[in-house]
Amino acid sequence: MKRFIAFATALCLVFCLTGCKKNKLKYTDYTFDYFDTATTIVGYAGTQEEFDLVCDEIKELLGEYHKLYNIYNRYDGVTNLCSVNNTEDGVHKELKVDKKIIDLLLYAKELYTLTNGKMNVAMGSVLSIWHDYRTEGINNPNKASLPPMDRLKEAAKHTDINDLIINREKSTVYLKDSKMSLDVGAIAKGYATEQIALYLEQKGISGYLLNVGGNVRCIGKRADGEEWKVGVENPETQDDYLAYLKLSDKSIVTSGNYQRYYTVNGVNYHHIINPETLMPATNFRSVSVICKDSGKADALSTALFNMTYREGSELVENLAGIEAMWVLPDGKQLYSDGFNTFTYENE
Amino acid sequence: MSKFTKETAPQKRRRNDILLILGVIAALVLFAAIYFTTQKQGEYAVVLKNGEEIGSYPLSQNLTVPIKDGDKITNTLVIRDGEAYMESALCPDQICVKHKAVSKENETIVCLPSKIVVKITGAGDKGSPDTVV
Repeated sequence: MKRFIAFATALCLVFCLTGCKKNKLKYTDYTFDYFDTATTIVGYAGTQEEFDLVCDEIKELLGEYHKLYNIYNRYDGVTNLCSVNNTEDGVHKELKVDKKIIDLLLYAKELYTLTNGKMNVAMGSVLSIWHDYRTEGINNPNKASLPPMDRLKEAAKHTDINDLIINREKSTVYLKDSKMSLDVGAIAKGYATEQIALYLEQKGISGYLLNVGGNVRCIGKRADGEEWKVGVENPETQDDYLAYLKLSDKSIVTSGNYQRYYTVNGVNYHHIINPETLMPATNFRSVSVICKDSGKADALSTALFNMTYREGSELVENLAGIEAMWVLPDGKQLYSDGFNTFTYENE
Repeated sequence: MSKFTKETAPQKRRRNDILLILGVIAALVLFAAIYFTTQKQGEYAVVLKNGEEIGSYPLSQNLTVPIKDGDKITNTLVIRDGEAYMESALCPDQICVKHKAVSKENETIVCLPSKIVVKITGAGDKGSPDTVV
């Protein structure tokens, strides 16, 4: 009898203790400090302190990438992409830069080739004109206007990716065309997110999800063993989601015409500029890409947005481990072959 | 269990044993009761500014919440019929105002210029997303 009681009590204790240990809680952190967007970190940890430690590490890295990849601001003691874009006496200088910049730009060149130039980080000259008109148009809606086409065409002469000279050994970057500049908006956020995810994975951290301004990367599964559930918002309707996704160790990125835009004479002009027409691409409302590599998902979502559905679906079907969803201007949704393996029905 | 009934221990000892078991069960029930009652009940719209919680409002009440930055009201959050939406904002892009009303777990409204997040909690995890893109 005594033995039974002791056993039962011990059993209770074991249940209590392991119960508490297993019962990791879900924590969320919001920050606005990086990549001019809202970042959400969701993670499972035993205590708030444990979660905060991981968050601090993630934020430190985000801060580092944010400074290095920034094309608008310079920071003391940091040679970043703004420095690379800068000209002195009308020409660019060859600059020694952090390995993180070299790696990003090499990857961007790779993605340029993969997407037939539909994602081009050397388009800074064109994108900066749109950026200025958009900023002006948002701040003074009455004065909103479109950039003159001849100005865009002139700028487009200086967007050759081959004029981006990277010397890996010397860790230097040089823009050969004095009128060209870099804009890494279509890839930097995703690339940085991916590098941080890889770092966490290497440290054996699991059960975290990063959402850097719509650039989602899951690290492992949730602590309850379930896959992460990600809703793709439908900006056109009040309650529906375009898709519910179940993901683990995967990334999803959406490029949409509703995220950043301004209005001229009642027409919305968004921020994804087609390299051929030099105007906002109009084939889709949004394109979402699922794959492991968040940098690739980021770049591909922009590239697919700039392609026709046929070009895009051909590219996706030829690549391994990539799924996509296209939303046409009338709201119709098209999917790559394996996309539905990641979706689930909600309620 | 059979071992238990075959036991030939004195009555008193057995009674103490039962008391002990009852005691353990009572402790567990108490623990569970405390655990569940301290869990926040119901659905709330939580307002965060720059990541710090500055307010939490039940969705069950119709409310108008001015969100301030110092003395200036930057955003006005409205809770009506179990949903929360941003009625107005000072920012030029008005993305948070155009955003749909939220009521499901983990749904958020973000105002980038004012660094405001409105987040729904306590709605229960009925297959609702962990995050939204």
